[in-house]
Amino acid sequence: MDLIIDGLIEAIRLLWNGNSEVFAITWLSLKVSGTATLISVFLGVYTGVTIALSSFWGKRAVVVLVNTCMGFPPVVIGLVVTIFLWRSGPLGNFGLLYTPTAIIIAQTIIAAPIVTGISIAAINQLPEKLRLQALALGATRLQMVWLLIREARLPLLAAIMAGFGGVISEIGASIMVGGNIKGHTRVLTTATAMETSKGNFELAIALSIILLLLMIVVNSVLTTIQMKGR
Amino acid sequence: MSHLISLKDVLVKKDKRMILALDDLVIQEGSSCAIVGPNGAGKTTLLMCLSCLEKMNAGSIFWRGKLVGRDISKHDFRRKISVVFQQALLFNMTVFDNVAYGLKLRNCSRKEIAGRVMRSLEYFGITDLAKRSARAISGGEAQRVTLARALALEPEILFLDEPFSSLDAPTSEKIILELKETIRRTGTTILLVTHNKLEALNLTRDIIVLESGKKVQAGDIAHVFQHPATEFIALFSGIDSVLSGTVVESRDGMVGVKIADRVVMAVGDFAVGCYVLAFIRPENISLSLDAISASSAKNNFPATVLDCIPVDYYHKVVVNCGFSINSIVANPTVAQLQLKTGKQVFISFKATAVHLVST
Repeated sequence: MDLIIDGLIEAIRLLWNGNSEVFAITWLSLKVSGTATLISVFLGVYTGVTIALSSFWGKRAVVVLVNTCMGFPPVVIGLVVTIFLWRSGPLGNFGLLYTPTAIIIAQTIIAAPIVTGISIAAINQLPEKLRLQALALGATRLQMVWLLIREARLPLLAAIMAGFGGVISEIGASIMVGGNIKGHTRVLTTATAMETSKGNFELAIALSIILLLLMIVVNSVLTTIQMKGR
Repeated sequence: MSHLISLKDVLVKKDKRMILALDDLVIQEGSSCAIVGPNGAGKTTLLMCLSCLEKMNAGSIFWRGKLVGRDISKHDFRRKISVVFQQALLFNMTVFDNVAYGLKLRNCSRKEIAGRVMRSLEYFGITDLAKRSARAISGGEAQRVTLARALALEPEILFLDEPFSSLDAPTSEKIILELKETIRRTGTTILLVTHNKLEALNLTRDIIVLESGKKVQAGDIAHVFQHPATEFIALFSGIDSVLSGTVVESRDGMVGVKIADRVVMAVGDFAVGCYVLAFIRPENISLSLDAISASSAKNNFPATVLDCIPVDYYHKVVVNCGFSINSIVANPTVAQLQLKTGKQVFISFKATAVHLVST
């Protein structure tokens, strides 16, 4: 019990004093996961809306594939990205392994199917004839798609939340493709795991609190926007 | 009147099943036409094809003689029409923004948008809803907003796909009157898909009847209702006595049709032995307690009352005179004749009151 209480007190002290290492790790986590989420939103919403509004042979199989990818183990994605970015791998020439870019790539691959899957569901839950109504009012296809995205904005915000939540809390892929290099690719989750394994519970707890606070803040902002949109 | 919109050789199939097959159809400018038919007849598909919102397997749509998709783009064509669906498909924005949506797409000025939106809302008496969220209004108000949104665009033709079917009777009656007045004022051509006879009679002058994806009858609504070509049209027009029989005599434009053990006289030219359907409107059947010998009606039969159903200001009286037939009797007459189940009566109807079609 003392261990937990001491850990909490030290964590609060670290946060209160503005530890530079903690700040750097937090900032990198935000940057990496924020960028990955942003890219995933563009890719996922575009792909999701396209799939939802198109009718093609094998559509059901594609949706099943997307839904399956939503729960893809991050370590498997980490392994695949590592192989691709490995010096002798297909993209080895770019020298991206163990860089923040590599983490962004892995996290994007994790988040994109989540955003895509929820986007498909978001568009599908709109009345089928809403699309026709927009066209009948004189909208071009692009204007119609924009209107549908606007109409589905509440579940789409949930997609962003799910995507961000998925990548900021992910550790397997980040540690594999980032390498957890101090001051370079160390993010909140990899740092927490490392400090725990070293027995530095104070720092581990402090990092965990920050991680939780980050998720609470981001989700609060998005939830507020969601509630306003009702 | 000139041709506003027409279609030629249209074929629509879904899962290899024929949904719609029309050789030709013309909608004149300024006309008002109802599309009726049983479920699955292809009414909505026809409306969707005419508004270029449904893919056709074959066929062409012409707008003022121009082939849509070649001489005029589908997008440009859709900006000349308006469609109101059965469900009030409002967007998650204010009522004003909903009505303004199509006008904004047309790059109208703010001043023009405000004027047209408010004028359109005024037509349906809902200017007070302008600032309300479209999600916070009732079903009747929502359908008024969709109609206002459609008319704010000042379309050359308004397509209505059962827009009143989800509303309660008093609300739909009120909206129909408002719409009728608005259409009268604007002179908009309308095409209405409906299952409701009163809506068709109230809002349109012409009718197109579809059955199994094909046009079975079209023309002036009063004429079609008086001379139904199929059982569906007869029932739709309010004829609830549809009797099948065989022609047993035919001379001088008069035929005798054997229905059960009775011979019913009717006007028509059918060969003896021909199987026919006889449609008799309930209001053309007279009911009395005594046989009327001086009547000019060719058909006089004793009958027994099977049922006497109160319907608003009249009763629907079902009688058996060898076959079952329906009559409508005003409430005071029902009381005067003391009509009730089992009562012996006499019915009479003229030969001209029987409309025959061969089967």
